[in-house]
Amino acid sequence: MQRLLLLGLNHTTAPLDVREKLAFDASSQKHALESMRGQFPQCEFVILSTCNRVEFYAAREVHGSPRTDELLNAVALLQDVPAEVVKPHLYEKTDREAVTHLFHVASSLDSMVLGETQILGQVRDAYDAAAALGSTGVMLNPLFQRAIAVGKQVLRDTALGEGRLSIASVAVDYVRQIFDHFKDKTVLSVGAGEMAQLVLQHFAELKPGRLLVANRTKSRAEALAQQFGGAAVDFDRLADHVAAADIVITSTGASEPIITRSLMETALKARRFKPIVMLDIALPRDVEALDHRG
Amino acid sequence: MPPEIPTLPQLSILALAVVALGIGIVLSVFRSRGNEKLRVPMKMLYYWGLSLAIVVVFWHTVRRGHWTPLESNFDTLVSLGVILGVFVMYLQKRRPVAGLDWFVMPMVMMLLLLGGVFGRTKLHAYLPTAWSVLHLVGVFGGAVAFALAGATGAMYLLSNQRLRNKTALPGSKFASLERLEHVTYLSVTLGFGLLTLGALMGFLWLLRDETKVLPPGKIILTGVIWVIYAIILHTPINPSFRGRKTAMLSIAGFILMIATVVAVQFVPSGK
Repeated sequence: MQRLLLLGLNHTTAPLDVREKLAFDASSQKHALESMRGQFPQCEFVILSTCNRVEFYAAREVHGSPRTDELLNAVALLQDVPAEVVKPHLYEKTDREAVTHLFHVASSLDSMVLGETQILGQVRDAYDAAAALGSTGVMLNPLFQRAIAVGKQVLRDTALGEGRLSIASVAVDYVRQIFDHFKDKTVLSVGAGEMAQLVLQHFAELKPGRLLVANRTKSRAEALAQQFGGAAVDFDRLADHVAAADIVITSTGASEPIITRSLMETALKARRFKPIVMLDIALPRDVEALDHRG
Repeated sequence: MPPEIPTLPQLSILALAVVALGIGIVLSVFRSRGNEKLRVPMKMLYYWGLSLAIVVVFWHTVRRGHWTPLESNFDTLVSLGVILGVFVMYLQKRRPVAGLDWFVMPMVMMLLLLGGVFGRTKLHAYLPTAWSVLHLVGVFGGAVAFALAGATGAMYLLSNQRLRNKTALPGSKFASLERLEHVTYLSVTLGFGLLTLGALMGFLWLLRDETKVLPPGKIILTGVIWVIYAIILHTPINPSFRGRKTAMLSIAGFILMIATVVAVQFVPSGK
């Protein structure tokens, strides 16, 4: 007989700096699943890692491993984080509670933005990644398939999905509360991945004066910029572009901040303290934590 | 010539105007929670309240027997309230600033109430010379403009705080920070010009009228207010002053302005 175990943290239990220590990207997630399967071969695992949560779903024998502490230690070792840093922020659920929680998560009921539609795709991606490695089985397969179906049903059949909210649409809404018109504004996207595309899709509807895309791989920046009638710019001259931009969106996979405090201070002075909005949707953060100004 | 005292029927209509505006504000708050059906009644109450105040001004003017404006506390304060209210309704029709009525209509109500109170209790007449009229138009016109700047400044601070904390205030979102800053700056520009005119005319009036003695407190307060708004106007040169600092200064300037206007009622300025 099997037992379901969930161990995780989210935006309500852990601050951003703790979440980013534990966050997984695609390659580290794959490595983590392989490592945990190697350590606990009789178990099933799925890792759900988004900008607002990191959760580990494990199915094991009733009196088998891993137990909570073993799972925590395994994860802490993988992410090179002291377990005691993460432990105070964790929540633990088993069996029925874990199932309910997953259904809530997939239905966006546990999201920072209630009704946001991205989480369902993220749950699906997490399950697909685990299934592709053979990390799921008789418990997690039906569980995640059912959770995805429930999430779809909730968004389809309830008013929750009516707003078609996403992090990107909320970001645009936020910026609209700061700026009145956008014809004279410059939007800079640092990063050219899937999130950047989603966000630029919403920002392009504002019809900004200029839309710039900066990425380490210039060809990707050019492709994305062309899609939205913008221009690709040199990643090496990021400081200049930040100084020229009114709205900066960062969504790179960098492990360290690419927009540092000193870069921002230089940019603010160059802008003569004109307002600038930084939207950092990456985890780990792309923008170094700054004091608020003005 | 002693000023015309407002009659009880006039004060009753004025009170009705204040009540109509007050109910309009309440409906505006409830409307902001998503009840769009309240939009029309809210607007009707605002228009009714302002119309009643205009009726009172005209009635008072007819009773006086002549049309010279700014002759007493009553017609000055009530007229200012009407001007401020009508200007805000016009602005909301042309290019709305969400939430502005929550901040400005209480000021309109206050002006109408003060007009009624001081109209009966502080009966000194404003001397109807060219200098005095220009002085009063400048000073009171500036006060109206600064009232608007103070309101948008307060809205800027509230909205800014909410955005930083990522929390939601009950009710509708205010206009964007950029728009609020723009309206504040425009209001301060207009008010500063009028205040400068009013202060200069007041100085010339003082020179020409030997019976008039200006209390030093009034000069100092006016000077401080003038300096505050001069600083705000120089934010393009000193841009580190924009944003929250401008908003706070515009609120401080408005409070000082109100304090000056009210204090003047209680300080004699003649020998």
